[in-house]
Amino acid sequence: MLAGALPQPEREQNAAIEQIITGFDFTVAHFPPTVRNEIRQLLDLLVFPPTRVLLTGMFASWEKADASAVRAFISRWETSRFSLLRSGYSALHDLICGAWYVSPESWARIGYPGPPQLESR
Amino acid sequence: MPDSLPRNIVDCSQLQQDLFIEADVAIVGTGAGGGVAARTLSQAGLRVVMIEEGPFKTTGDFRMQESDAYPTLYHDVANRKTDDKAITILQGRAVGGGTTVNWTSCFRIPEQTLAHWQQHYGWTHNSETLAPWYRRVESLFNIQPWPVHNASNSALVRGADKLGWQNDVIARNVRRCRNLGYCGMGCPVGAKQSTLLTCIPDAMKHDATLLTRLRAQQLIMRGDGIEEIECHALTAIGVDPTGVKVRVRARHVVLAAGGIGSPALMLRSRLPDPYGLVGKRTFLHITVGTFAHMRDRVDPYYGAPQTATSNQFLWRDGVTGEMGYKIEAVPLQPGLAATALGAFGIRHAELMEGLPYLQPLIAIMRDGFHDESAGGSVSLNSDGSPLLSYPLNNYLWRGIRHAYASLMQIQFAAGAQRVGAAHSDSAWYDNWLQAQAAVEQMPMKPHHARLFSAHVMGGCVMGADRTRSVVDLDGNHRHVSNLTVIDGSIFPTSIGANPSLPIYTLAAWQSEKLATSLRQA
Ligand SMILES: Cc1cc2nc3c(=O)[nH]c(=O)nc-3n(C[C@H](O)[C@H](O)[C@H](O)COP(=O)(O)OP(=O)(O)OC[C@H]3O[C@@H](n4cnc5c(N)ncnc54)[C@H](O)[C@@H]3O)c2cc1C
Ligand code: SF4
Repeated sequence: MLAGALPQPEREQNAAIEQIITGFDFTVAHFPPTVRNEIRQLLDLLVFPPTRVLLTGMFASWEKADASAVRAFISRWETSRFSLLRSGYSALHDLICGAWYVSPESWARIGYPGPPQLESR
Repeated sequence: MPDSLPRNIVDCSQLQQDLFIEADVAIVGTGAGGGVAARTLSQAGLRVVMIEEGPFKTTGDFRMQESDAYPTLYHDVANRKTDDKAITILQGRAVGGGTTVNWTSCFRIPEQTLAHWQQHYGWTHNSETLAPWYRRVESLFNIQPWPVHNASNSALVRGADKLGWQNDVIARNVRRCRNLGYCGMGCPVGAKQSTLLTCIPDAMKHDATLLTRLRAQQLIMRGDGIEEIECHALTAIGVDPTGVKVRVRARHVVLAAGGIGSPALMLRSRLPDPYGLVGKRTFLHITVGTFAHMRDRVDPYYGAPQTATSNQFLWRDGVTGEMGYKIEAVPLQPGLAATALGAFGIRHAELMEGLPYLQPLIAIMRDGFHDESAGGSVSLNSDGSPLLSYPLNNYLWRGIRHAYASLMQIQFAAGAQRVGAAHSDSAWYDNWLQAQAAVEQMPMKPHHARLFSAHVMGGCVMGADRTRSVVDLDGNHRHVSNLTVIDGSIFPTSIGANPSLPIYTLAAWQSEKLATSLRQA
């Protein structure tokens, strides 16, 4: 989802992924119970092998999946005829992209200088 | 954050045991409508209790960071969705409601809209009868034209001027605004004149009580009136109940929980609704956007967010014809930008890399004026929480297609190098002809077009005909003797302009009238 957006050095990239996961969880914790359940169900579908293969076309488990297979799955969901898959796409998109770009670590690459400094009054 | 909260603010997430409170008037929700009502009613000498599900956060808490503002100050982390997840709804959830996080653009109700409401819903207001109320409210919130444009708004003016399209300066509710551009995260310098900084402190001075992190769960009826409000305290995170309950008993109840919120509470409480109208006709001003890549930096995250608007296409086919729209700029901090840009992977990364050069425009679709625009409808999940469904049809998609084209036309006229739509099938276009041809072909489908709303209206329609309205022309519930709705849910269609000033104004008028009748009783 964020290919091309994360820092390259492995250590920094892992830190960024940690950051995104923390942000993802933080956001989910602030959703009402109904939405939390939907997200849990979505993640279950993605992890459970039969539904994973059925819905994403990915035979390999997530740890072993290569980037192009993941890209193909995301893109299939994005443009799927089934609105259920398209809505799964938007949920993952907003949560993952949102979590990364609200964190200051992402700002240098996109040239966002951050909020202005307020002189203390 | 002040060291200790004033005595009459209770953060219910901290309560260890159940509470029972009595008052003359209980107000559910402290946003645009609730804030004004609390001020008017407490100044009239009535004992007011405000019930707010969000937290009390104020100037010193606002840090211009999306990462803490969205979870704290918005419903569903600024990512509330319709049932099909096709529309993202931004709605405030804090003391001050939407006014704490809104972008401060203020408009009077368009003449066309008022005339439509008179003709179709029996409204009696017109611009003359409302004039004194506008004046009062505009002075209370210091609403004045703000002709200081950031690069984004300048581009809107430049493009519209070049095309000979109508455009205007926007009036804003600010005092000594420093043009920071972070209104959506709460104003960090106290410039924004939200109800949080105006009405609510006034109400507190007149001994109103403010209960925060407290959700009104059910209005409990006895005979033909509400006897008590059952409320659930929420944890500090703000979504789950702690188990502590607060009962509020009042002579009169003002419902000001906003669109979605007010009808949901009526539905949960099973208030009489013989014509099945509650929650129906919920309107969103569905919003679509396009992005221009400019040669010079735009820095779309800085500067007063909205200072220019074009109404060129607002009434493009008359009031009840093809859907019209209002054109505005938007502030674009990276988190909001990342969700608005539908693409993923490398393409998303590239788009985000251009953020400092991006100039966003939006069209706010005027829904509700045509037979084929009946709006959305609120229902309840099994746990009683609200769910909005909003069917999307060709009438709307035709309007959206038209809007994409106009937005891009302005951006090219303003000198954009390339332009794209917030739509999964959009590419970058290098000139207007190419863009126009592409928009003709773009599939208009949910999840392809990124759809937003920051203006939830309707659901408790005010009108003269009892078979078509939830509340009468004063906002009083038609079947409950002591319930008045004072918020954006009373509008019978969308407004065709950002709703805050219309809500403040009607709230001022309604609550003055209510104060008089409660004092006489
Ligand atoms: C990001 C953003 C930008 C905006 N920009 C503009 C702008 O520039 N100009 C403009 O005119 N409008 C703008 N708006 C819209 C405007 O702020 C809202 O239309 C307006 O605040 C709605 O007023 P309201 O009284 O209907 O409800 P709200 O202001 O939404 O207040 C309702 C309150 O009720 C509370 N509530 C709901 N249910 C319950 C319950 N059961 N128990 C207790 N409390 C409850 C909510 O937490 C909320 O605080 C913007 C909105 C957003 C979100
Ligand atoms: S633009 Fe003005 S009102 Fe908005 S946050 Fe900045 S100083 Fe406050």
